[in-house]
Amino acid sequence: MRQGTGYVLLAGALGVLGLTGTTAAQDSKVADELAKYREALADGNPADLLEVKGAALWAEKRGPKNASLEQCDFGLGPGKLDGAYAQLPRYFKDTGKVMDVESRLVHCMVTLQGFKQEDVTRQWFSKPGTESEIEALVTFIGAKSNGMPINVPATHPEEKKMYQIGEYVFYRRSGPQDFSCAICHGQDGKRIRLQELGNLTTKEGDEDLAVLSRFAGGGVDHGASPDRLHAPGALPRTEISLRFHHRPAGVPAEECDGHRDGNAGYQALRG
Amino acid sequence: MATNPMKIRASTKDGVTEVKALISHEMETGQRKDAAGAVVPAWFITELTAKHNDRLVLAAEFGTAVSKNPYLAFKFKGGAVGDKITVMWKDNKGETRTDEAKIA
Repeated sequence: MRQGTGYVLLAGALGVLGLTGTTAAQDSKVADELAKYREALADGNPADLLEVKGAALWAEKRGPKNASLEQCDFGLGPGKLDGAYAQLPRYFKDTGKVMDVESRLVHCMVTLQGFKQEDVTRQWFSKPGTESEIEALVTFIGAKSNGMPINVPATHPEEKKMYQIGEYVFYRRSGPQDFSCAICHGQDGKRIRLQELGNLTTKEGDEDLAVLSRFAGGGVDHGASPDRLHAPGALPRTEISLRFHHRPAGVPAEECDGHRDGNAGYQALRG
Repeated sequence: MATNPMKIRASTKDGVTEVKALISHEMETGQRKDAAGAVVPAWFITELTAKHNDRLVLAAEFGTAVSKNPYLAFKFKGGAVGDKITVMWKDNKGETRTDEAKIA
């Protein structure tokens, strides 16, 4: 009888050990398969369509003032886009605010093209049947920083303040699902379907995000992310992206527009 | 409704040029119904042609079985760096779009 129990326990222990080994092997296998999947997708990424659409919108004369956006200043000078995304959000003297790529873009659409703020911000994201101009423009601007190091030192007092708010929001549980960002993005090696979640509480995780975010931003695997959590208005994104961009200084900004996920709640927060 | 640009990439190696085109189109089959139960009218690409400079290298007929925002890749013999690749499509509403790229 006693001997029998011993066997069972031993078998159980072996089972657990065996299982752990297989899981690790499976994880690396999954990672390999994911790499293959992404390679296969690289040529037909729909984000490329947004990028070319954004490029056309950027140069097109539109709005009541019949002007293009080509004089828009993202911090490196009017019309200078190469690397501009990698150093946003930042404090802008002319508006006296910390602005990210979207808020700056809207600022330009209002000041340069003469659009009304409430008209251009009506649609931050594309929905079936209706396409968002902001989404296309931001994809285009973000792509101009591909491979460039993220450089957001957050030295200005206003930027520091935003960074702190972002950090607070990242850990704060809220909303109907009582979720914080950290619940999904606070552990190593987790993923939702084909998308790694990335542990954003560590520097390595932040770096992963910078590389992977193309998929979140481009909408390729969008079905995999809980849209309700990343929906426009759900997150104060300037603060949050300041937190992310601030931390991994020197990380290549490989298609780093994934932070677009949570949008515009910033406007609501600040009024 | 204005059409959206295509993304075309072309590269040549050992005398063979590979063209990769990502096309922006809804490609509605006419079989789907919207939230109100009304049939979404068919709207899809019917013809597509690709030219290397002025030489026709691909002519295709598309139908409703092709996905939204289709991705098309093909190869042809010849082509040199800097040559022009032109892709043109026409849909069942009579809209057309032409985009160009240079062979890299």
